[in-house]
Amino acid sequence: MLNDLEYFEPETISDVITFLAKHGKDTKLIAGGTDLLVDMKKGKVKPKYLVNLMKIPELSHIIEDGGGLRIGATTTFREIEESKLIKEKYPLLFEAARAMGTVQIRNMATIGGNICNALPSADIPPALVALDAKAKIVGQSGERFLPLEEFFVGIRKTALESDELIREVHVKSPPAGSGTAFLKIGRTASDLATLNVAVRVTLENNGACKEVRVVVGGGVGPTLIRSKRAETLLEGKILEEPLIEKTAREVSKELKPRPTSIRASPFYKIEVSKVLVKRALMKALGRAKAGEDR
Amino acid sequence: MREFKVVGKSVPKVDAFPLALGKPLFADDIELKGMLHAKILWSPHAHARIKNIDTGKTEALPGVHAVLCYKNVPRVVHTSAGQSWPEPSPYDIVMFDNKVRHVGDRVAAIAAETEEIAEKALKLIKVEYELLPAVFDPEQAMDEGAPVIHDEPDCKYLIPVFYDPKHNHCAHIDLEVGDFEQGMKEADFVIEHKFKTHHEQHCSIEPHTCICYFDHAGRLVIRTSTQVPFHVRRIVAQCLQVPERMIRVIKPRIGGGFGGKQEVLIDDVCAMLAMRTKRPVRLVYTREEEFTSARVRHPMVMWAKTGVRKDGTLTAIQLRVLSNAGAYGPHAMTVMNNTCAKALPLFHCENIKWIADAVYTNLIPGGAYRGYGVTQAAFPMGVMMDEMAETIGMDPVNFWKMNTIKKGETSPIFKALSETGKGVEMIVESCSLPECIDRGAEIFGWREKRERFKNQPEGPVKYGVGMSCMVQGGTVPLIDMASAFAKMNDDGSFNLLIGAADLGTGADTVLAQIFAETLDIPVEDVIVYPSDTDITPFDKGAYASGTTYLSGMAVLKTAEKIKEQILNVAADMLGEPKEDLRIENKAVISSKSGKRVEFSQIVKRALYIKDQFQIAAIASELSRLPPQSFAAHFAEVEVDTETGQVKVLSYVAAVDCGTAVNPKLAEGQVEGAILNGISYALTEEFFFDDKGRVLNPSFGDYKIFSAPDIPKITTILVPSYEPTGPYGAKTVGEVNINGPLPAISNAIYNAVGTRLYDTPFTSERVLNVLKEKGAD
Amino acid sequence: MKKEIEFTINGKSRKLTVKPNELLLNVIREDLGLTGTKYGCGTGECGACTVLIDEEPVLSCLTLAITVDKKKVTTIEGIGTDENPHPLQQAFVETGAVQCGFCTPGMILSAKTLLDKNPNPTEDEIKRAIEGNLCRCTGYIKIIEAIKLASVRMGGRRK
Ligand SMILES: Cc1cc2nc3c(=O)[nH]c(=O)nc-3n(C[C@H](O)[C@H](O)[C@H](O)COP(=O)(O)OP(=O)(O)OC[C@H]3O[C@@H](n4cnc5c(N)ncnc54)[C@H](O)[C@@H]3O)c2cc1C
Ligand code: FES
Ligand code: FES
Repeated sequence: MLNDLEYFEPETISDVITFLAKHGKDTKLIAGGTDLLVDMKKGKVKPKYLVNLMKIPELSHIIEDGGGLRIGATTTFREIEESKLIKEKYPLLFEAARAMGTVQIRNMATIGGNICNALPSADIPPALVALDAKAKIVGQSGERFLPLEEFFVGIRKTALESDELIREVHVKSPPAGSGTAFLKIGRTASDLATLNVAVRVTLENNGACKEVRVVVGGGVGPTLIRSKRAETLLEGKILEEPLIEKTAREVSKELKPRPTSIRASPFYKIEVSKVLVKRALMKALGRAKAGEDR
Repeated sequence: MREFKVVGKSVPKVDAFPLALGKPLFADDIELKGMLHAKILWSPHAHARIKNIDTGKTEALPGVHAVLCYKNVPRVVHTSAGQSWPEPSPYDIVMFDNKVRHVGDRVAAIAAETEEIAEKALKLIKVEYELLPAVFDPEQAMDEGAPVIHDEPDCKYLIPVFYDPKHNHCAHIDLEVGDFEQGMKEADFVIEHKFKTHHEQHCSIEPHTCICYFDHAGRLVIRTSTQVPFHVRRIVAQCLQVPERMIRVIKPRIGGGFGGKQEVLIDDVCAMLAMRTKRPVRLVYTREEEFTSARVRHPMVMWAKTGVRKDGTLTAIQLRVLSNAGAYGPHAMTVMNNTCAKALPLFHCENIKWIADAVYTNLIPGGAYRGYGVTQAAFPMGVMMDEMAETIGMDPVNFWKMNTIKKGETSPIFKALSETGKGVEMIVESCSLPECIDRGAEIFGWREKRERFKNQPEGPVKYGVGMSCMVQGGTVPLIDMASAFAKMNDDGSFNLLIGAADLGTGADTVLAQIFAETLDIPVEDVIVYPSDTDITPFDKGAYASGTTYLSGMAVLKTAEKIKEQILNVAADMLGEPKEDLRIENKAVISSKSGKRVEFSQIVKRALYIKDQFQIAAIASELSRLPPQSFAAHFAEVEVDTETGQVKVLSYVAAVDCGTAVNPKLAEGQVEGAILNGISYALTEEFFFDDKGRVLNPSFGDYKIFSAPDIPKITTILVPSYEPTGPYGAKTVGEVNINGPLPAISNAIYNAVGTRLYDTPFTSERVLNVLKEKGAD
Repeated sequence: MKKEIEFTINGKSRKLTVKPNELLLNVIREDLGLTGTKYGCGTGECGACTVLIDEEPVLSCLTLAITVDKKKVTTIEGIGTDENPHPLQQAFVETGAVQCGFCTPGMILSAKTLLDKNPNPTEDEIKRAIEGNLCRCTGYIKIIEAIKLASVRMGGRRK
């Protein structure tokens, strides 16, 4: 049962900001509701006010602009999955969006809600971080950009202030010579991730690795983990299987899975991270070489 | 095989259209004026005495109409198991007790104007607990000094069986046929392993639902999602201490049962709340409650030891079983007994020893679950068979064929033990298991695949195949009874009133087909009215794979009695002796004169013209023996040795269910059981913390398969003819859930050379086992 | 704080006063009396409560009724009748895809959106389209068969 509350349906972002400035602490924004309503049913949150973001036209879009993509906060996963633009130019986002939830959930769930919910096992954040995504945050004091990995500060904790909301997610277009891969392990086809890995490999013309991102999610720490070790080990090198395998082992040392997860033990997550990171890197490398991601 | 007109045809289910249209057919699809909503307060503790309950604040809350707890309901020890009286389950439960025995045990209940109020009211109940030490591990439950879960003096069995609650010992039986030790001596090889199977929830998509109200005569009507309407009437009457005549139980359409609804789980509370408030009361479990406060498949620890000779003779079998009954004992003994009674007759073996115990622990209680103990025993036995075949270097196909029971044979187990105790002697009069094995192997491509997988591909992914055979006896002989009533209408159609409970299985359709076949009428002319204790005659209910076989025989007998009456009237009308007449296409025809009278003429004459009477009949059938249904299953798996992930690629089931009265419905039963079995084998799992709390009470955390997870499943129905069943039919509901555990375990072994003796075969378990092996 | 909303339910316009914390599932079952939409979990994990909003399958157990203002809601009762069942309803009956029938309404609605958008889906596309609808009875085999059959009958070309 949901608690009694008052409901608002603003049509502009500035209305939301004004409302939050006044009632931020007692308010919950609602987008798809797939996380919030579950929490409310369990009595975990009891907002006095509910502000629906879904009727605000300026929050829902997928726009290519400059060197990247702007995804409005209330864009649903289904819209991302079905966007031709994303499928062709940002296959990593397509793969991660598709791996998420079920058709019904993807019809409802939004990218903004997913990020703000900050579940360590969420699927799209690792892909976004691998593409150096930034959150465009708006509030009373104006707007600010935050790299997504800094946006997540703990299990279901974000850097958002109570008077702020996410307006957009900005994603850089992968540079020429890039290949990406998203891999997820769950117990069944539609399960929260036991482990997920998003990888981007960008190669120089001479075949050396110019830039790499290895991002691991699935409850391997309070937030997803962007592996710095992988970047140090691989950037500037010619990528070959032994080096990739070694990197995968190093990445696994950065992970700190919780022992309380019912999905798998820390041991399992660490063991399998070695496998998934290796496979994702190999796959991304292959794609980079084949020029599949542009 | 005999050919029939209606039997053996895949007529659509009689209720399929209204269901597909979304008509209000389920228990919760009615709204009654003034209906109250009930909620139950659950124990947060695994084991505690309730020192006091203060419901003062709750009762004072506006909108609350009744609060029940141990202080204000009669203490009637009973069992929640929906079984025939006297139930073979211990009387160890009361509506509300001053003791709780598992997290999720009942503490109190409320009826209020709305669900919101009821929920608020729950929070106002003050309970003072005195915590008691708890025991969760069945292997420790019988130890000296272990906490005694049922220390109340009034728990007991109605039937004379072993029961020692002071040591948490809920049931014990052992038996030996032949001479086990001698059999061991004759063996060339002896194999021995310990196995473990895990908890499983039924996960019927419709939760337990009950609506109680009073009719114009002041009688209590219970509209409930049950597999056992007549047992519900009896047990609720018992709990409420009112005569059965005051209660009417209606079973509407049921959204799946699988054994979970063979239980009086909520009906007693809902009925008591209706009694107290004199208002309609609705009680529906949440999904979470299904996981914390319903029933589960009994987890078991099993020790198997077998002896085999080089020539393939199975010389001895020993199975020791320790069943974890959980906090209460519904079905504990009978499920345990089936690990022998209904599982071991499969094997050709003269020397069998079986020792079984069921123990109480402070976990969620076990109950009936499709497969009912046979699923548990089929796992060790199926794996042992595979290992024995390998040890003597024989192909499992040949080894299984050599060592399984055949038509015309008997097993000493039949006589020694039944589900409830003493067995009946019987000969297997129908069995196409050898053909099932051959055809299944052929269609699956057993030999080619075994050959192919001798050479595994490079890389981490390996492939393997495994098989297992299974049996499931239907009904509990000399106890289970079913009956049917039918009457003829003006247009020659019939009302068929059956006590049997269709829970989505298609029983109504199958029974209509048997009736139609017997009277040579189309199925449309049979109007089925199922399971209403005021109107339909008694049936034990939908369990023990009994409906097609037993209720089917009752229907057939009813139809035959009606046929006699029709022929009598027709004989009078035609002026010809009955012996010359036969029934054909809704008419009676004289073989001599060729004259013909239509059913509609016959019935009109009976109703309106001469010697008026209602053409109608009732008949009952008592089960005399448990007909044996068989199957051979073949699984092909892919194992990722780096992640431990197991994927079933293809699965073939060849099934002997006698005559398939409705092949499409029979296939549906097979497919549903197999998929349930596969998802149990691979992903379904309960997690408990050290306080006995269920950590994953949701579909998000307890994973059952959805469509993208399914393998290619092929079902082959291999007919046989069971002379004691209606038109040769046996049963099909349960047997196929017994295959996936052993077949998949064997296939994993074939792929990676490691055996899994503990279930489920999750990625993590498989990876661990592979790593252990690598470390050796 | 109740609010009046106006929406289309199964083709008919309807005004209703709802509380902001009321779930669409309860409003559909209790206020509109359309009980074909089922409760199976209340947490978005079974699909029994699936309805179409603006032709897309969503979960009514995780939708606030107040948010469907001005939208088009379709339930199982809105896609076919006794006299004129939807081809999917017909196909589900014929292939034996209905066992207990509790998952059927949601399953059919998910399949309907699939076929409306993609008249000739592959088996994998069918499986993915119904991944959010759990069925414990059928093992999905006959459900997939039924969707294929309906796709053929609705004019999808199938090799
Ligand atoms: C059955 C089921 C399966 C799921 N499977 C997956 C899965 O496989 N992978 C996965 O990653 N997730 C999964 N989820 C989680 C969930 O669907 C996602 O996290 C979803 O994207 C949340 O989006 P929403 O729009 O529904 O958020 P809401 O529930 O509306 O909101 C979530 C939180 O974010 C806040 N919020 C929403 N939008 C904004 C904004 N623009 N600015 C600031 N705050 C905002 C809300 O106040 C709330 O606290 C699943 C959920 C369910 C119920
Ligand atoms: S009831 Fe909505 S998804 Fe289960
Ligand atoms: S038919 Fe019973 S759940 Fe699908």
